[in-house]
Amino acid sequence: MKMNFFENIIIALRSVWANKVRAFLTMLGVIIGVSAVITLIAMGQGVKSSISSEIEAMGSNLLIILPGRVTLDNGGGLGGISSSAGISTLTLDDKKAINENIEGIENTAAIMMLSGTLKYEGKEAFPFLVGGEQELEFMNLYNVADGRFLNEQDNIEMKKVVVVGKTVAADLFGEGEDPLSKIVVIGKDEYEIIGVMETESLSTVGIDANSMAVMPIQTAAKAFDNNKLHRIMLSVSEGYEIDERSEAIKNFMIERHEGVEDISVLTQEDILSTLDLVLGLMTALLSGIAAISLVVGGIGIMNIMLVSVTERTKEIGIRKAMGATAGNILTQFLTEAAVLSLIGGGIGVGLSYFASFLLKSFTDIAPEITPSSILMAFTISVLIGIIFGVAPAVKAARKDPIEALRYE
Amino acid sequence: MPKNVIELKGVHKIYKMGENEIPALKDASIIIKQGEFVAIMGPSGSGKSTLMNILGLLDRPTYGKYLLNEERVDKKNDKQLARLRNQEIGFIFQVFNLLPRTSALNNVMMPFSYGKNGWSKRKRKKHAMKLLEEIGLKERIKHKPNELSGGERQRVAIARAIVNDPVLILADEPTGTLDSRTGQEIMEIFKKLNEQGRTILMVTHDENMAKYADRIIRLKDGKIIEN
Repeated sequence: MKMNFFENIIIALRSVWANKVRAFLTMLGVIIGVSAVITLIAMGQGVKSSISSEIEAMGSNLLIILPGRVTLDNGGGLGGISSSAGISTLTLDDKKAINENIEGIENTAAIMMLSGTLKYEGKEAFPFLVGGEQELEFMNLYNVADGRFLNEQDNIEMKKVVVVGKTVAADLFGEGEDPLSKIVVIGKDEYEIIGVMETESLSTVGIDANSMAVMPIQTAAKAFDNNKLHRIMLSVSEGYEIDERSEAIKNFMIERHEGVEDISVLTQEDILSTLDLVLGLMTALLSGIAAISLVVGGIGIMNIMLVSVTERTKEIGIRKAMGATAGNILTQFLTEAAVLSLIGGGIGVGLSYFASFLLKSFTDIAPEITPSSILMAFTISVLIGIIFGVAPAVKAARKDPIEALRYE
Repeated sequence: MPKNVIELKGVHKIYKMGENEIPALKDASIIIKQGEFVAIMGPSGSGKSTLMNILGLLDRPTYGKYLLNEERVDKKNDKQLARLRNQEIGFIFQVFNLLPRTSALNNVMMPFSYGKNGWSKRKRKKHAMKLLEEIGLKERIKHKPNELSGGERQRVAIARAIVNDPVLILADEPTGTLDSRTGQEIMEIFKKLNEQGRTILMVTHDENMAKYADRIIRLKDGKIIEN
């Protein structure tokens, strides 16, 4: 006596169609919930792949030495709190020692994070100010748009020069004004701008070349009276195992620092997995919040299904008189709730494509809608329909046929 | 000798209203043979509806025996009763009780949804169309109930009642909301169905309609006073 599945779907669609406006309003909760969840996941995915490709562009042979012990689960990465805020024990001498003692290292670039602003004729810019070296070029973080990047001579002679990102330049200079050769004030000293750099990708790595200002590291060490480093970037030569080099550097550094493990060596893979973890958590949190509206949507469906069951009491009576069992009626109303919420889910998916399109057009984020998030959205909508449809469907199935037939 | 379609033996129906017990049907015993056309008459509150509900397997007797088509049915469970309603009984109501927004054809085919006669969808459709055609609604199969007249609606309901070829047709005041001419037309259809060998049990207030029946059962205060 099993009623045809498709017949139930057709009955459900007919009933939804008969109350189009009401059905649409009922679905709104599910529509908003599904589109919010999918869009948020897509945004998370989009940000992740843009950062990932950026990190990957640095090359898979990249190693980063950070001061402090950074573990992957305390949000280490490049912008980790302990690594930039704590007192660093990493020095330029360490860098030199690594270059001299560890084999298989192709490039090394030290970074010293500084705090200071750039002033020019009453205007002020607040860049991410670092002391750096010409070797930073190997990381492919930027393009030199104008002028040149630091060279060896700048460091040896401790020249008072600075390379600024295009955002920094825009903050200090008006349109049409050439930043090159302009003299800016950092701290008490005057520096000459020798180059402008830019990057196209949105960087969340903590190093966004557009809003950076780089001066020679030796100049910085003198001007800021500091020899502590915050990063040493290395690239491993071809033919060397990256994990093995990472281990070698770590052991070397521990030995140099008299047995204290006060540095961390991260590989590209480490950074990517940290990124995965952090963004994954954030996406899960945000979509969890969005999922609340799915529950609200479910309650809306339950509400309207209860109304529908009462309205259709007579129909239930007729169907029972014609031989429908309680199970048949239950299935019919459950199907209807599931169809209602599934249509809502479908509209929600459509809406999330639209939202992604808007985001892509008007912001830097390129959301990526994944098939799995669509599948998940559909599964959740059907489940919501079924879960919140149970109470109304049971109510319908339990109706006494005699009473139901008498209902006007 | 034709077999008994209905055999009711000492059937009582007692409703409980809090502490009070209200007997709606007292010691009803009825035998209806295959091919009979029987009218049930009686004032309101005489137990007609209770009797129809029990005969239609929408309700169970408080005690007493009920054999439908020579099978004991008073102890069956809800699921079994639903199946018997689907296969053995065709209901016709005073207010037609067609599904709204559903075509005449789909209304007639509705009982198929709850049975398993093994027919293909095509065969079911063909059968339903044939019944509608025989009853004079060939041009109306796509019409929804609100596009049909009262007489047409009742004819759709009749086609629906016989779609599964039941042993018993139960009609509850089938002409109650129709004008007398349309009522006569409906009764002519009943007569024709009866002549084809169908067993019909009809509740009515109208002596003119009762005349179409072979036999009249009269009820008063829950008791059968004429059989």
